[in-house]
Amino acid sequence: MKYALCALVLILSLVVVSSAFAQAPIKGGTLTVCQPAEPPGLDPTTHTAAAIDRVVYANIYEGLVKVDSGGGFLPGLANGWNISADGLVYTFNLRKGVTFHNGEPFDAAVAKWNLEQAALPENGNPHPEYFNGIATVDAPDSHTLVIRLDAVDALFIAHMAEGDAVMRPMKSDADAKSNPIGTGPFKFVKWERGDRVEMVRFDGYWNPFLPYLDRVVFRFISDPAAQVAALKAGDIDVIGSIAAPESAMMLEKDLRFKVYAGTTTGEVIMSTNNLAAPFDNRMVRRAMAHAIDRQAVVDLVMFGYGTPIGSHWSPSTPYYKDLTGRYPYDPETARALLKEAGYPNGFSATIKLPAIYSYSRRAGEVIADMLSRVGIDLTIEIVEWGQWIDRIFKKKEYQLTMIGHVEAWDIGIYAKPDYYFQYDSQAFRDAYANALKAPDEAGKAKWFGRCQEIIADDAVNGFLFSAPSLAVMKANVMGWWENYPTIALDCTAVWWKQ
Amino acid sequence: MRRYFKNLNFSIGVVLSTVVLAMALVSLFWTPYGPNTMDAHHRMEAPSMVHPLGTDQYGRDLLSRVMVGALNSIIVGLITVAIGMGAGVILGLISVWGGRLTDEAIMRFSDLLFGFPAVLSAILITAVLGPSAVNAMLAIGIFYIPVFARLTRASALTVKGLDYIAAARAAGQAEVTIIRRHVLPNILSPLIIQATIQFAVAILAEASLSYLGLGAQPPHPSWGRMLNEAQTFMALTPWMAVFPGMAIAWTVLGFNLLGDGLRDILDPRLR
Amino acid sequence: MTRYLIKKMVSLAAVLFLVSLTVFSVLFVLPGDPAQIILGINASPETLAALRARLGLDQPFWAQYNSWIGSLLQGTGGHSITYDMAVFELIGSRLAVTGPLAIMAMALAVVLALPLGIFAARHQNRPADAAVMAGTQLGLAVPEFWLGILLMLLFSVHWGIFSAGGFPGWDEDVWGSLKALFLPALALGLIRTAILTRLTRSSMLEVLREDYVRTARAKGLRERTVVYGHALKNALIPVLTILGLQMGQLLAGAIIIENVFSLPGLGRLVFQAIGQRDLPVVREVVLFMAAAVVVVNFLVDLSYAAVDPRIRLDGQ
Repeated sequence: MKYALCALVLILSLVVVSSAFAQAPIKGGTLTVCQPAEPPGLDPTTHTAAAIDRVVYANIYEGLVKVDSGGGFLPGLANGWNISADGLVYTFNLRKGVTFHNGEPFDAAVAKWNLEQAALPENGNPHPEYFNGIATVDAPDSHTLVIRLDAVDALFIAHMAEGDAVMRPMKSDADAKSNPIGTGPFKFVKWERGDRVEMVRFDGYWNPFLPYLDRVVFRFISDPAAQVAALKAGDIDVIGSIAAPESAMMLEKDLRFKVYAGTTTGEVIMSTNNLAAPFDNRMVRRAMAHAIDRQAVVDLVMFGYGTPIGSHWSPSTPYYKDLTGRYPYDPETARALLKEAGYPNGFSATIKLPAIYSYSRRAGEVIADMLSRVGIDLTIEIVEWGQWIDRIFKKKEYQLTMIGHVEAWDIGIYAKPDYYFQYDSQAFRDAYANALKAPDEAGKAKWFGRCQEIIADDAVNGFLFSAPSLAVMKANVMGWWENYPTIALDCTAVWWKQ
Repeated sequence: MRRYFKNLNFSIGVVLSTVVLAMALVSLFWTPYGPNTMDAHHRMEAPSMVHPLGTDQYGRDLLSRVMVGALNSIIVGLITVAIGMGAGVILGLISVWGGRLTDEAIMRFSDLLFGFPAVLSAILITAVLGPSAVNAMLAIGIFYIPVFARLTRASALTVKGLDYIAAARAAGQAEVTIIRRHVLPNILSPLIIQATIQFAVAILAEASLSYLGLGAQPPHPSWGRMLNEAQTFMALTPWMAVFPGMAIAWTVLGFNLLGDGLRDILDPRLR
Repeated sequence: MTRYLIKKMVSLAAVLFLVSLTVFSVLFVLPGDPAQIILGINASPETLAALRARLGLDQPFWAQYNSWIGSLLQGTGGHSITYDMAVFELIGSRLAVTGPLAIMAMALAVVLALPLGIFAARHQNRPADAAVMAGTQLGLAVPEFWLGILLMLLFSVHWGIFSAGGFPGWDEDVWGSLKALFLPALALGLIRTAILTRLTRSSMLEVLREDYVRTARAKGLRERTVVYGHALKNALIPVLTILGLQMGQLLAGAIIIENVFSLPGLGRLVFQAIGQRDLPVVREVVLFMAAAVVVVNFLVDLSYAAVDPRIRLDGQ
């Protein structure tokens, strides 16, 4: 008992001390955030570009569901939701008193309209499959939304938290690409093409305590050297995701700044055409997996930032299964497997790298050197993004390529035999279908885990590393997300420490 | 030959370009390290006895890469000048001997090429054909065609009016023979001078295209691309940004001086 | 003169027409579907087809070309896919960076090159001349983007006086914008100083050999009066010509230096637009740049013709 009392006192004093140090958030101030790529429009429902979500998602636009920094799901514009026992009916209880920046109220009718619009192909939502499974949407009263699905979809809530499912005002959405109007904590002011997007605090935000900042400016600086220079010069306060990891390494030593090296939903993989010889041979793919030293890749390409992965699943996404030990780095095994596969002297192949991503070009060079040590001679071809999409992604004219898949919960691409990997496995499709239909957490964990195992076992692609969320900011910027389990740069709870 | 080496420009040019040529030739057989061999344990090392020019972000030896880069630049210079001079001389001769309309068409075509900003067109060409060393050379070579066509036309026009051509014609020699025997040898000097200068310009142009990522593909070392890669490491590893640039300047200076010297010697009127 | 003018104008229009046709054809065969790039890799075929129809990409070649030229002649021009604004407006806003950059670079070059060139000419074949000429040789050999990188290394990384690229924007920070243009203008300007110095020198030497200069000297005029009063005026004509040509080239030719310093100029716009397959932007900017070069050439020809009647005869 005495010990217990002592412990209690200790805990209490710790709480008091720590809370004395933890300052309460201060309101006010302007935050200038550097986002490398300029978005091609500001409407996340018509384009997949991650740059759009990074600027507007959670800042200007919100959906029914929000992702928290731990990867879980939080109420957004819905206070909460109930799922029927058969997993088919979702009843959302919508937040009251929410208005758009232009004063238009948000209610069930607006939400219903948004979901219906998203499913129509002519509106160009890049992910109509998120909404195609919706059988009916009903609004029994102004703040209740009842969605009935055709089939159980374990990812429905996850999809409702994506930028593709944000809520736009019904009456004035025509101009969303250049004048976005949402319900978020910040109100769009202007977009200087080629330079910046500005937004100010929305006083009518449904959460009266947020946001802390008065003004947020997103500046588009793609050049890595210029990003760092602008941060040092004080032109920007935060680099949301720094383009050159080597700069992060340098800034880490500077006391004026801090570096967050968190996790993201993205996986950088060496995509492999599973129908192109010799990569149609699983033994060859496994040999390559053994020939790649993943930690060295992370060191050489990302300067140590980033986590090696063993399958197409980021460690920050729920149900992650650690498969990095499946193919330990071992050139001897790789050579033996190649011999067994009928390539005792190795072979030559071409890897096509998209020019716009420096991590991809770098990883390609590093992998080419690693594979050359087991007798695989890679020719590097740098292709423009337009050509990459056309020749590699659509026409599948490639053997190997290197790309980061940034979306969360995207393992379903392995269930499509016509996807550019051209991977065809009934076992995987069954496992994925089971995962989607899994009624409970245990079931989801089991089947999503199985999915990860199957593609790792087949060595479908070269699974390299999970891209880090590398943010660099002034030391007194508080409340920035350390991990980014969704694609966003959420400034809602960011504040300036005095 | 002594006449040549009395010219300071020429002498310096010969020395500078010989060094580059020697480096390129040696790199065919020997480099201190593999130009593309990575070494995770010796990344970004400053110049030292072991690595005279230091190493890059993958631990590759910069001296070896600069040496192979020299070979790359020499090849670019040779091929682009060959394209430009080959097609240009033929077009220039056609435009002198082919009649008014042909002449007009060829000259308007060269106007069109001159009117196009060169870097921009090279970017467009590589966008269509895909970035590669060969396509970069093609893009540069195409721009040399009008340069050589105009020069050939102007020089040939002067020569054509000279008495001995008329004499040869009167003696019944065929036009093709006249061109080969009398015209070409007489316009060779300006062509050689121009070729030397364009050689230097080509090395600059290829470096620029490579810097934009449109030239030689990785891991093959090209000076321009090495500079591109160096830019983000500038604060950490300045030597990566210094040596490849010095190599470019050295080479271009060498061939420019060579060209100037040749002009002074072969064509004193132009002084 | 009128006939010459008309002839030149027709040839100008023909060149621009050919440029427009060339650009359009090149972009027509450019691999990569703009609709796919806009919608991203996961777009459905129906969505793609709908967007292609909206952008007019499903039309045959001549229909697309005609509607583009039509929109140019009406003065509306195309609409940028990426930036969702009129391309003309976009060109205007980017010209506000590239224009001043080119002017600053040329101003720098003129301020340095004229005195240097005259100085070298007056000390022909003496050590001072040799030193200037050696300097210009170096200027011709150094790639301008490397010079930019070196300036950045020195002024921003080492001394921290200038920022290593980026552009704050004129209405945001005029002083900061000027500062952002300084290093790139210096890099562009120094290279052009080399060209102009050599030209000024040779042009000056030529003029100083002319009879009227000799006469002036023989009359016993002071050397200063001879050089600045008589010779300079005439020596400047070819220098101004090259100045004009360089100016036209600079509007287009700053692509690389804009990339080094990540300036939002015209060159960078078109470079990025090619990657993003923003075809309306690419074709109009390319046409604009070609037009700038061609029109400047035309004006230079014209001013020449006005000075020298022989050229008119040559043109006939």
